[in-house]
Amino acid sequence: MAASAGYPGVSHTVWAGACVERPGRSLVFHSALLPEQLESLVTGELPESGAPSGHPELAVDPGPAVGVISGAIVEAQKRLPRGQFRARWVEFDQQVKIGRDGSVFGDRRSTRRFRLEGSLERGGRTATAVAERVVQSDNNYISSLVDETIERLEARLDAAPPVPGPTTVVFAPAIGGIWAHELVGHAAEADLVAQGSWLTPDIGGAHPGLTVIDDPRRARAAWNVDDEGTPARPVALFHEGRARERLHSCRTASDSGAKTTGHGRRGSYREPVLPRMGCTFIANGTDDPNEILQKVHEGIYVRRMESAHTDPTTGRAVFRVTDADRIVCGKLAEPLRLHLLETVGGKALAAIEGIGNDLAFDRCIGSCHRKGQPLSTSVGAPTFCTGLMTVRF
Amino acid sequence: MSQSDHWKTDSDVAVETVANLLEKTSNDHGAGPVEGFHRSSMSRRVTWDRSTGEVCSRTGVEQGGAVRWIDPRRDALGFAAASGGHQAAFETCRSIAAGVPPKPVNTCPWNAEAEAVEDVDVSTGSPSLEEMEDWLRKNTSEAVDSAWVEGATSTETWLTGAGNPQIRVRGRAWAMMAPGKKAGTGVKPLFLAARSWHALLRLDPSGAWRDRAAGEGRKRSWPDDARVVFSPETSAFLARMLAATMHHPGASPGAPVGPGWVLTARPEDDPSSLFGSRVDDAGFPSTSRILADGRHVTGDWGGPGSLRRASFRDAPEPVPVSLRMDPPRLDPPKRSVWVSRIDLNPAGDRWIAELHGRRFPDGAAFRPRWVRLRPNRLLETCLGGIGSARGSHLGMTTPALVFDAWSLRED
Repeated sequence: MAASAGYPGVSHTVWAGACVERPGRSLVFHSALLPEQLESLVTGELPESGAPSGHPELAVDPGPAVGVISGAIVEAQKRLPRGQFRARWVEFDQQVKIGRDGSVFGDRRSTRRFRLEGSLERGGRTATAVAERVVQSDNNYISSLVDETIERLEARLDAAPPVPGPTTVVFAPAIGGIWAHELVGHAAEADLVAQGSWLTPDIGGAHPGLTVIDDPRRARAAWNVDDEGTPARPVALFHEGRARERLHSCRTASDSGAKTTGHGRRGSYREPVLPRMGCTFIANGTDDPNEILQKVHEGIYVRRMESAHTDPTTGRAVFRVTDADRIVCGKLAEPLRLHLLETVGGKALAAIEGIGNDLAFDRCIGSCHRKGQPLSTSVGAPTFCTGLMTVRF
Repeated sequence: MSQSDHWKTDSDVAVETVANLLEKTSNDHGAGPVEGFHRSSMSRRVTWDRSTGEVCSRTGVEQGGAVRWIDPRRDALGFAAASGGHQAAFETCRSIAAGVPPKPVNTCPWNAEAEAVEDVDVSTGSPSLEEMEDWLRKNTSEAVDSAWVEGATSTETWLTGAGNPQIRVRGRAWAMMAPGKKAGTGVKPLFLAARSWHALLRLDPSGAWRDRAAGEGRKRSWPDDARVVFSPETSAFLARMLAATMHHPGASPGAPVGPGWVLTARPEDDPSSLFGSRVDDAGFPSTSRILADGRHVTGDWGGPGSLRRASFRDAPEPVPVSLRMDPPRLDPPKRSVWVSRIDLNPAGDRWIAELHGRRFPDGAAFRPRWVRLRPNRLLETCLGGIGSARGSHLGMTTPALVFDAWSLRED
């Protein structure tokens, strides 16, 4: 659902489908099945055509969302008449049933997320800013969302170019979880580990206080049972300076003699299961977040990153930073223009200089793409500081 | 090629289904024009993985429909979609569409006196599993860690309240090859696409692998004064990014371009284009347009004829596909850098780019170069092309493009 120029527009889609997968051999899928068509699907044949059985009862009502996004745009426009604002509401409700070994498991996954984007032009200078929320049951977040967007718009009018080259980086609470997702999470997905991951159990030199956990049950689009019917559980990927457990589907667990962890997911009913991250986060450390910042003589304070990619075999990762401030003598200075930050796994783990005690979780609309399969994922982190990142600008 | 034929939706049935939907939806919305769209597709993919040695198949059918309608009081558009190929799915669409507010639109041929069109690709048909396994065996070299090949057929039907059904039947073939460590670090997967299985069989991926080679020996510094030649694959990516940025709908014509920047939008049924068809995904007739003539920007790729649906779930939007670069051909420069890989990150009016290149023609490797590119400068410094134009999965057909050294220089 999206809105611009005061005209709300709704794109509402309902779909249903099923597949039968024989891991390592075949997958047969079909959209909008009749129950009796499932039988032929199980035999590995495409079923005969027939009328669909209809869709599950809808839990998504677009009406209230239209009011929320229209209200947010009106309020933002009133507060900053020269700004241009767009809002986007994404909501889904998904019902899943999994049959395996004669048993049937079920899960229901849903989320509501709201994003407000603004742009501002003044005196030949331009700025853009974004604020997001995972929506709970009330609308009290709208004012704070508008506040946040306008505050960053005004600040970013004076954004300066960053200095290319090595730098120290402090990640604001929550956003550093993307660092953990890319560097640690992907390197712990068992199918990628089998192909050669940089994150080996004997890797040394990491900060002793670094603990990275993946717990799908607390993701934005949380799952309690994965797409193979396995209950999801938290997995410690990195703890006390060492790589620990991997993220497994049934297949990868069986291949490596490990226990499955409930991380087997499909991008849709058309795709095979892969081990995937749910909510990857860095656990709280013991450092005071203010002291972490004060210790940095010169560096970058990252507020927002919009995308990243990594090579799990080498650990090289590149992050696209869309909102950040310069740090000068332990204090926040001017905002910085969009730039990239690059790092490499082993060095990155060794370069952590402080982990705060203010763990927070992300609020963004985003997903992780792997092998052509998009999946809604979450991250979290306390404030933390790392050296040896390279600014590309 | 047997099972796919069984799953092609009969055109008459699809038209009847959409017509029934439109009749009911029109009643709900008074005089507002309504459009119905239905898509049915059957695909088959075979995947190979070196680490397990397994060959897996994935076969499936997907059907879905969508409705768009105009609210005549607000000159606005609503859209809803649902999976399933029959009346019950459209009933779901209709009930959703009736309850949601519309948005502005000016790109529907509601009242156009469009002719009924039946646009059937004669080469439709999916390959058998055995044929696909055979293709994988022949085309996965030591540099490849995993790969898949896919054949798909689709039948699409549009109908507006004014009638005039438009029917499109297509067959396409795709392949992906993911490189392993032997291909070098950071090398991206190679995608191939063709308008038919037989056309895919004629493609030779070994040439693309050679283009992507990083180069041998000690890494040298990138020379500042050498011309830059992008491989056909990186040219397709770069030219499509440039077209999206510099020829987007609303872009003002007249900006200067170099003699090599000769760009045409050819959405009509161009045999070299993956996406060509007689009508776009909203039913507008496709027509060719010259977007740049080697001197100036002369047009954009948007508007009627350029609308595409990513799937039945998505409303049609203008998309830069079926683009063709026809630059004057040049002899390979004696001193140049051959760019085998490019990563672009848009940052305001510039792109932060990582380029991997080697010396042409001896192949000596250069160190990767990070540079801030200005899209308008790239257009101005495009000098020409080398070799024949190749199609790509991105919808851009182009030869290897040659740019002046100045194109990469920073202010």
